[in-house]
Amino acid sequence: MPNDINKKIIDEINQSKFDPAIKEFLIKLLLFELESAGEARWHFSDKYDAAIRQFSDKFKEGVK
Amino acid sequence: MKLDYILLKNYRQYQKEKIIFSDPEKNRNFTIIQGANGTGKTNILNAVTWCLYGKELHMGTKYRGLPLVNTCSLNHMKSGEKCTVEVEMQMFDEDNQKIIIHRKLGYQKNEQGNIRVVPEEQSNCQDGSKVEMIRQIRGDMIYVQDPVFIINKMIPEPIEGYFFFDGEQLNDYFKQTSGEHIKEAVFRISQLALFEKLIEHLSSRKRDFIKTGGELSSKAVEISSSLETYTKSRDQHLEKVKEFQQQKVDADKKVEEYSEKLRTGPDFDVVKLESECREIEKELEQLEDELKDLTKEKNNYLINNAPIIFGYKAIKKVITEISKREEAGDIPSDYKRDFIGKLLKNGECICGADISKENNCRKNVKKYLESGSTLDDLSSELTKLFTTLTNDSESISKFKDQSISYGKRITRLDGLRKSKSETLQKKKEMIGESKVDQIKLWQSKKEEYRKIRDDLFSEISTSRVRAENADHKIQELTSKLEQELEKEEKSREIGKKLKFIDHSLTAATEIKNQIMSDLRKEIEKKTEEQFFELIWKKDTYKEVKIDDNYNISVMHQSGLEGVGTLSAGERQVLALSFMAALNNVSGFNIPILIDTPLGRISKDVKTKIANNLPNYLKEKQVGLLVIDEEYTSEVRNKLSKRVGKEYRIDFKETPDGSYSKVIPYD
Repeated sequence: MPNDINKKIIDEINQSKFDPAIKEFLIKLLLFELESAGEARWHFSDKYDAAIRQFSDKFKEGVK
Repeated sequence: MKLDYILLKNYRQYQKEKIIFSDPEKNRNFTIIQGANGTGKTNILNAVTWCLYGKELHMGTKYRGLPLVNTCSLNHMKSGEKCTVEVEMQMFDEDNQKIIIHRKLGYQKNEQGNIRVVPEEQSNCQDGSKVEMIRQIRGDMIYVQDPVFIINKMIPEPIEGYFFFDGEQLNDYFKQTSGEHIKEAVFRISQLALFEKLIEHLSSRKRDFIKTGGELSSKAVEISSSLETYTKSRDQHLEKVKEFQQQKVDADKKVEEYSEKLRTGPDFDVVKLESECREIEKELEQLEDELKDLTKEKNNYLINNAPIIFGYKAIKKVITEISKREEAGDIPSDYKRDFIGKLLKNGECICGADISKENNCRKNVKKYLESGSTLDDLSSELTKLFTTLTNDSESISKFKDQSISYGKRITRLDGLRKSKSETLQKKKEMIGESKVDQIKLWQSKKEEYRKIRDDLFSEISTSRVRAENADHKIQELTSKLEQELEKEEKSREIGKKLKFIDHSLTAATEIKNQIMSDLRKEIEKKTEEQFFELIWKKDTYKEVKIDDNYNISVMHQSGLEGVGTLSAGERQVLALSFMAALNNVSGFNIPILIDTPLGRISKDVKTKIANNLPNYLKEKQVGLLVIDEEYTSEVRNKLSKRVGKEYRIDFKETPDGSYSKVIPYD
């Protein structure tokens, strides 16, 4: 779907100074939010926890 | 995405009409549909939203609750007969592939002559209607499996109002809409709300991680409990800051509103006094700024010179001592000991003699090294220090004069400020003593709101400081908790995740703030561009500003600001410009349909705006649903180069009911 603003958000994340694991993690969470936008109730906890498990292992401590 | 046509069957005023839209690529991006009030202009907007979402989102009270089916078609129905209401839109996507969206809903007449909705088979909407979507993929036309989902991705319902809107309501947009609401609109249209959700959800996971950590040590539990208290406190204070800021903006608007009333009111003396007050207020503001800057400059001067003042005696003594040594010829020294050391090390004297071995030459050179003192080593440093200290000492001699000069300037400015404040107060009292009751009331209201505004200013500062303090404490406690979790093997995993969440939250907040700031600047720039394209008083205004809280101001050339001072026509222009800016930054390439774009403003002003309309939304496909007063022959001439399709709505009333026909312009 044409949507520049999402691209802007993704670009801003990619260009930021943060650890690659954090960047990847945030993009993944945004995709969760995008997919479920408009749903009255969605259970984010499980999806979030799985992503936290996956990306916290990749995260290099001390690198902001 | 561009709109090719809208087909209306038995929908509201329309029995069977097809409206073909102008192709924006041919530089004629405007489609005009002209009709008197009540002929079905707004229902074209409703047809669009009904087709997309199964809801008539621009419905006035007149038609609310009435069936969608056209009254003529309804009256021609026989008992038991079915009539279907249909709206179809054909669009082209970015790759010029067709998208057809078609919605229908059946009605049936019973023997008593009453009609009822006959829900469509496999209806996918609450009203019983069914939407279908067909997409062209290369040569094939394919049925889309989940049309409701895809339509909402293409044109999300929460933001449709920024693409299909009613100009009559725009006039009040900035009058009634607070900055907070505008910010919300920007968030919604830019999808930055997703980031807010992400932060909210991630923070919630963080809280749960801390709370449900059953394996935490008692110390960690204690820290996490304090952490929760401070987080709550910070959030409450931040919420208060937001609330107070909005109240302050509202109070500002009220002050401006009453000031405007006084300046244009019935009492000529008051009009004059109020204008003078406004001037004095502006001067006072400048004086306050100057005073603040000068006080800051003075304090910096004092701070920078404090070490010299406190060390003045010591400085004087050092200068005297160095002078004495200079007079005695000890400084500067005849030679440097480290230079002699180097000669000995290299084994060659400056005269070229070999001093690498213990010969007489080497012994003579060594004597120089042994006879020197520490003073020789420090000689060059002392010379430099002497210059620095002498300069400092001289600057101190000017200190008294400089301090007195600062004091005098500050006293003068303060005196001026006091006298201006007194004059202002007197003028305000004179306004308050007006014989006109209405004036008295306006003046007292103005002062009441001014006081509220000033009180809110300190409330904002206090809450902000409290939130900042809580935030420092949160950072401190988070780091303590992470250290505590590190101590034990069993909680190390939680600690690791917590640290990761924390870093991610910091990253998310920073990135969101960066995008917000960029977005605000972009909307500000685009609103200003469109405003100056549309406004007829180009020399009256200087710029359009949008602050961090999305409060919009239009700055006059005089430096005065405030949307409150704009006329209805100027506000309409500002709202149209803001809508165009939102559209532009949204990233959604959706056609724009505006009902009565020039709203309820005077004919003269309408003509002025219409004259500049060709410059509006140059890159977008625009449909304008206009009334006769908006689309005069003059406006039509002006717009002619941009209009590709032009229609008139012909409304007919018959004994069987009414219907409208959409006829191409002669």
